[in-house]
Amino acid sequence: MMHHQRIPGAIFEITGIEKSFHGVKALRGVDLVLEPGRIHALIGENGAGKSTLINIATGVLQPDRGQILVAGQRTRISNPREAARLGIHVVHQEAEHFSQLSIAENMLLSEGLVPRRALPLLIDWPATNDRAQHALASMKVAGNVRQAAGTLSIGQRVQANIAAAVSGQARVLFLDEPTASLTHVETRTLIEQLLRLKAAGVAIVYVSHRLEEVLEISDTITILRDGFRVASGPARGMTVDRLVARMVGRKLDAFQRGARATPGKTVFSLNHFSSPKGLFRDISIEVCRGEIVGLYGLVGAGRSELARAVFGLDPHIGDITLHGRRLRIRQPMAAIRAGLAYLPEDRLREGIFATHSCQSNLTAAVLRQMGRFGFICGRREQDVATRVIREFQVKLDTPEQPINTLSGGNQQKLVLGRWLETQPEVLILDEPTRGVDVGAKVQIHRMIGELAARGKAILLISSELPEVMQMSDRVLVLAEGRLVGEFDPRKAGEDTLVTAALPKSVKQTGLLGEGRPQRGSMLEAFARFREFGIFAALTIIFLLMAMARPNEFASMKNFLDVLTDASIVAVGATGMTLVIITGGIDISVGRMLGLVGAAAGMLAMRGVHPLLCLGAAVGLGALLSSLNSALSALGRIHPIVVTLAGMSVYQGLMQKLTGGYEVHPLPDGYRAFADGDLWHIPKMLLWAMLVLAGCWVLLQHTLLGRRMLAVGNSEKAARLIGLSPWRLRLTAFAIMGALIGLGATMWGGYYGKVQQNTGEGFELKVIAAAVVGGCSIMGGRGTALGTFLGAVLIALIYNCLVILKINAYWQGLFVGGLIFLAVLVDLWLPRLVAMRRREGAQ
Amino acid sequence: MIRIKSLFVSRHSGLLCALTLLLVGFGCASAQFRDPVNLLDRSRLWIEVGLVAVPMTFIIAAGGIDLSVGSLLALSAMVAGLCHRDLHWPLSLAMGMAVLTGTVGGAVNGFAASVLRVPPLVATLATLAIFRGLAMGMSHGQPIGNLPAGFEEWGGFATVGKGTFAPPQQLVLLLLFVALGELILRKTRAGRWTVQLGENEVAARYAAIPVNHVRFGLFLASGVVCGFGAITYMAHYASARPNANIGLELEAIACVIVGGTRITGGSGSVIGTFLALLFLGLLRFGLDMTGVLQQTQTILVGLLVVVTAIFNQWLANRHDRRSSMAFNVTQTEQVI
Repeated sequence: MMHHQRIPGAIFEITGIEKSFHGVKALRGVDLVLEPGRIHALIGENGAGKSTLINIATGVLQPDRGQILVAGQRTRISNPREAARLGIHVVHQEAEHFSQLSIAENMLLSEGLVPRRALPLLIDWPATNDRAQHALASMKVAGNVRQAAGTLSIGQRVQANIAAAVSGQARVLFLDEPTASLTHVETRTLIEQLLRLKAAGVAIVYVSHRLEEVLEISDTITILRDGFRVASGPARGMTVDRLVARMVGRKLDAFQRGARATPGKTVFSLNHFSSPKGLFRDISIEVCRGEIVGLYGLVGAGRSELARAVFGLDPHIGDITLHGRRLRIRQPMAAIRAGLAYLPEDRLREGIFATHSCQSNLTAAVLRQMGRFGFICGRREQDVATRVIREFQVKLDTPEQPINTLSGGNQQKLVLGRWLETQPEVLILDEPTRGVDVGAKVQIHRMIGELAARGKAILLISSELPEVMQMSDRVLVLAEGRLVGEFDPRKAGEDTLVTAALPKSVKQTGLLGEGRPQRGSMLEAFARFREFGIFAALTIIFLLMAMARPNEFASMKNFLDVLTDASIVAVGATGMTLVIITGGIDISVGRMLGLVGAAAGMLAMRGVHPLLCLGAAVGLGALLSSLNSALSALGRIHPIVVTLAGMSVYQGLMQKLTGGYEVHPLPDGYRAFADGDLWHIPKMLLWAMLVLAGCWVLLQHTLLGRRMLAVGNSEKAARLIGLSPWRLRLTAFAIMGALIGLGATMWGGYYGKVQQNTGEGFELKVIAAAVVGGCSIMGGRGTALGTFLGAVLIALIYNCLVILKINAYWQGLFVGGLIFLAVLVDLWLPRLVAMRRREGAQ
Repeated sequence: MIRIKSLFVSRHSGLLCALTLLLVGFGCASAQFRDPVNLLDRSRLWIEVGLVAVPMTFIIAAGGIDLSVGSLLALSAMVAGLCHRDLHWPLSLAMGMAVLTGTVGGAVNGFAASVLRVPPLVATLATLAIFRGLAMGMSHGQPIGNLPAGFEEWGGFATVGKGTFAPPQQLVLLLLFVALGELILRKTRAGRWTVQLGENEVAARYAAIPVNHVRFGLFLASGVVCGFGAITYMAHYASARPNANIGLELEAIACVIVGGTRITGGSGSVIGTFLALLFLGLLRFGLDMTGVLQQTQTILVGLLVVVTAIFNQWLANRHDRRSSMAFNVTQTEQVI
């Protein structure tokens, strides 16, 4: 073992890093030394450990062994925010983002949101947006940073992230395949930027598969293979061939297709095939019997989208023909019946049922053949599994074992096996060897070759050039959704294909495409300001009622009564909004309201000072809720389970506490919290307004609120920038608990007593108010104002029923209908808007 | 045979042990608990929960949830009651109406969750309110009684065979229904599709599994079962009540969770659900017989649900870790 010597001038060093996942070694003693003002390229095949190394260097993961030195000091980087503080920034490959937050927030959420000078707790939005805008401008990208990030393409997101990382005081900058989804022009801009940063003394780590690019800009190159650092040295004098040889560690062409038969008749063809969304246009392809047609293109060129449409997963325009017969394919089942099979690109997400057995994964597409009358014959299934496993040499202990215990290559063989069992004539293979070890790769290539030899027509989609060149009889190149050329792989060189695949458009795409500000239709405005919708509904009901029953309805007293009725629900629902925003839910709030109300009421009856009672209620609520959240996080169980149990526990505790009697009469001092008016406004309403204001400030103007929204929007992206989902969720739960405590005190004060059934069904009203107010049950979206208006709308409907003398028993019908209406609007409005926007663009 | 046994034991051994302990413990403590007549008669209280818990197992295994079952059951009973009382329909026809109502309600849930793509939690929360509102509104909040005596007789006393050990007919029906559920979940295409949908919806679509049909079918089945549950409910309580079975969905979900079905979907066990039903039911019965207060019982049951859920999750994690160790072994073998 070589003794490690500190290199003078190195700003960042990692030595002897080891990391395993579930017993699989991803990194085995890797060193990396970065110097200021140098670009250090990190290359290696998929799965070589590059991303793991970056995640360790930037605090997303902790190494099992080895150390990190920042400016010569041994440092433990516990999370990405700490890394950012040390000047270590990163732009991740997938460009994970928060689609619901603005571009500016996405860029600056981890550290850079600017606090107000006078009130540092609050965010200074103008300054924050300015900072983001400047960062973009420095990348020569135009666009409005206030726009939601969900509207950006992957390339644009990467650019924004790079701009953000660069704008921070970066000393070390990690870029994980930044150019994979950039256009040629964008790539050139990026490289100029990097050279400028290099001149400014930043140490840059550049991960890329584009080796020419690597040779062009880097000073030093480190090559990883299977978790080992196999080479490291100056870039000068290196060639692409030598880099490739070191990356793969063996000659590339481990498998060569044998002599190809003369292609047979045309089996499969697409004629003027387009996507209604414009993801690909006017594609015509023919595949003959026994032919492998390669489809090459950069990520985002529309390859997988094309395959999905052919297979009936997405809509299409144009013809699909098989043996000259037009097919009608609207769903995958029809495609399978016709004789098509599609091996999807992303195995984990689209291919496997991770915890299910190998056997059931294998037969998923052919269950109909596994038995009669809807039954599955266990023996027949086993026979299929045994045959496939033997034929494809899948390495496993038993077909019953979960498929996620297999290596990637073996998983892929099983998924491929699944599709071969459907006896297809045409196979569409999308990145068949992605994330597969070298040995399995050769086997899969051989299998594909044999399939062609047996007369199957194969469309091979791949972004790996050597694979396409080796395997295909013809190569088609797709760029920006259009076919741009057909090549003979034996004659054309790799560079010809790559050049063809590069986007042709010279226009600077930049952020926000045409730079058109998001203005326009009523529909869009409505979709963006959801509260207007509820407000409009409130106004309409109000006007109708005022005309129909002017005497009973249109009085100030009735108006205030409605708002008073809405108050307790509004307070609870505001808390629930926070919880739902972070991706949680709590169905125990009703019983908690009863328990806390009873406890506080009993204290008050014992003569404890009302303020102390209020404090106790708020504290108890926060404590119980925090406990729920902590149990859910520690036990890794869904909050709905914990709070389901909580419901039962609180009910029992309340009965124990009160001995089954109602808490009555509550002293006047305690009742003064909520009973009566202050400045001619009901105190109940004042409380609700106070909570509304507080929650509005929290969600719109504080870092905590924005982070809650971020976590609910995308937990993965949140982890990458170092937010702690469970901590944020716990905070949301605690705030909700405190608000339930407040609501319980209000209840006691207003009604003067707490009964055994107090709070029964309250959880439904609270969740309904939040959902009606535009809170997404999936997390990441919701506003305080919307929830408040939702609570008012529900109270108003109750009020109308009473005035119209409709039996109160029907009220459930109206509330349920309201929930449906709200959810349907939330689900379908964005789709309508997107559709209109596309029509406008075309 | 050995495989079946080991599967059964590994999956439900915890529950079986707990159940045995419970039987032995309360059996020693209370003579009333030991009395089989008492014990079997008590089971009439669990029939509705048991019935709806079976489709609930499927729905949760498919990654969904159905909160509307209690309301739908009450609505079905109400419709049948009104048909019988106000329209003077014969009982059998009225009971047919209950099943039909359940079916329509289930179809509404299924339509919302599959075609409209509303998250099941929200969709069934809405129908929970709607069905209850309908049941309350139609009946003006009043129960409907005066059902034929023979029907009440069946609900309260009918047994299979005679003697001390004769089980209620409803319990036998429930047992058959559980067996059918387990068979469907393990041995049929529908069952396989259910767990595959719960495990990975995207992959299910790519594998040409008719995802929308499966989801619709599950909610529909849940509705149908609610219709049948309405019949057993009316027979047992000799009436249809608009406020009946509030919280039934939560009891059913508790059984499903304690029974070891993954709350996020992907795997499930109807037998586990049934064992959990027995366990929770017998626990409450035993506590009743030994004079433990109702409120203490409520607390205990709540704590138990959390503890078993955490335990199940822990078991699953441990299993994952073990299998990844196994992977490591095969990995090294490959290298060698």
